[in-house]
Amino acid sequence: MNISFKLNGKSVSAEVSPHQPLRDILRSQFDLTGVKVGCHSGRCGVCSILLDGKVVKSCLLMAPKVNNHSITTIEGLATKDNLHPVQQAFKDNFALQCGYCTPGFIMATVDYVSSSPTYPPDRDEIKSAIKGNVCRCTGYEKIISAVSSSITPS
Amino acid sequence: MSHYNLQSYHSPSDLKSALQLLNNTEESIKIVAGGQSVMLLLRQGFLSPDAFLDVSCIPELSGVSLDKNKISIGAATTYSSLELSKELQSYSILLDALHVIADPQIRNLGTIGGALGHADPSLDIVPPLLCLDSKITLKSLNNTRTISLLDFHKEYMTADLSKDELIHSITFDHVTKNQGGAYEKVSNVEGGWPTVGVAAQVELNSESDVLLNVKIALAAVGDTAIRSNSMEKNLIGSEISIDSIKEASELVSQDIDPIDDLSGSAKYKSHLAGVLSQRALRKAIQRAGGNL
Repeated sequence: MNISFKLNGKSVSAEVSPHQPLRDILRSQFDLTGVKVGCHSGRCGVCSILLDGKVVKSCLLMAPKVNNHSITTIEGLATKDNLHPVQQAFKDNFALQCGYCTPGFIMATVDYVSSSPTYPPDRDEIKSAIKGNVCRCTGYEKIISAVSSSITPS
Repeated sequence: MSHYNLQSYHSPSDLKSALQLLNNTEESIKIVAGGQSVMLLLRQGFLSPDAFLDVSCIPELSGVSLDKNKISIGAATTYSSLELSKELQSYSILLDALHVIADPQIRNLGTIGGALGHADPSLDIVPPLLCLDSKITLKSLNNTRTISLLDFHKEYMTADLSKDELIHSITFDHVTKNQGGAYEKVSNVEGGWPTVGVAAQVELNSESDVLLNVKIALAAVGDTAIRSNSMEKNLIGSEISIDSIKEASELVSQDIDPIDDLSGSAKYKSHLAGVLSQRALRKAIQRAGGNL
């Protein structure tokens, strides 16, 4: 079946099978390899993207579901000259080592900081907001610092 | 992935079209809402329907509505919209569970009706709904029926849902101001399935020292989520005390049937069921205004 949707601000269409996860369409048909492949089962969060601004795991998102909706991947965050503020915060706080989980964490953080989080930042609330993402290198401290520094008073 | 034999994906925008589709077809149709469990089952090869019926675009199935006596939740309402729902802010038993279901990504797509249809005994949302004596409304093209959630989950991963029916809504009565509820869970990993989960809802007398009514339900300790009649019977009418809660919690093992698995031994789960029952009851009583 054919689906049409907004992808990082542009109108696109794709031929998909009902059982295909959107992750595979984004990687194979649109070359958006910032959408990573991890556990295939919704546990690791490396394939996180935004569906109409809300973070979801694209390995569990049936491709036909995005028909007429809007998708943002890590590739859609930065402008030509500037990183997205959350990307900049991860860079400034050195909140990555191998970097494989980073796109997923950033997408989860973008959704979280746009949903009126507690200010001053609440550590438990941050941990709850990023618990769908797994990092095997950093030990999370620097990631929590990056998320924390992304939160501004609403 | 050649073992998939999927022909079509229907995504109607009105309820009648969905019900007509379920009524007319000879195809095997899998109803999908958020798809968070369906995708896992597909990938593991447990499902191979001829078609999908996506009910997430039907406005009538989404949202929370109130009338004088009860609250009604549309089957395709996502967990995250329930968390934010103004109507549910006084239902701490539900909010406790909603906050510990998986993670934000899953809660943005996963729905309450999808969970109930899936009928997994480990779902966090089911024990709180059992404590609220929830009813579930099922619709087919020519019929509407309402049954208790307790009867809807018949056995392991099996719901009382005919081929031509879909889950329309979940309803329960308003709680009164001398009631309180809580959900307590232990999980091996943050955001994981419960090793054991316990929900408790209590109603106190006007002096806040006697339990007029008690409902306790548990997840992950049997083929379906379970109400603990022994604990409830023991506590109803009793004065509030730490000792009476502790004594009642020892009865939980009569009502549950946990198995040994990777999340823990049956013995450990029985122990957890008692400990979490005490915690949930204490919190529920405090929230109802009782002194402990």
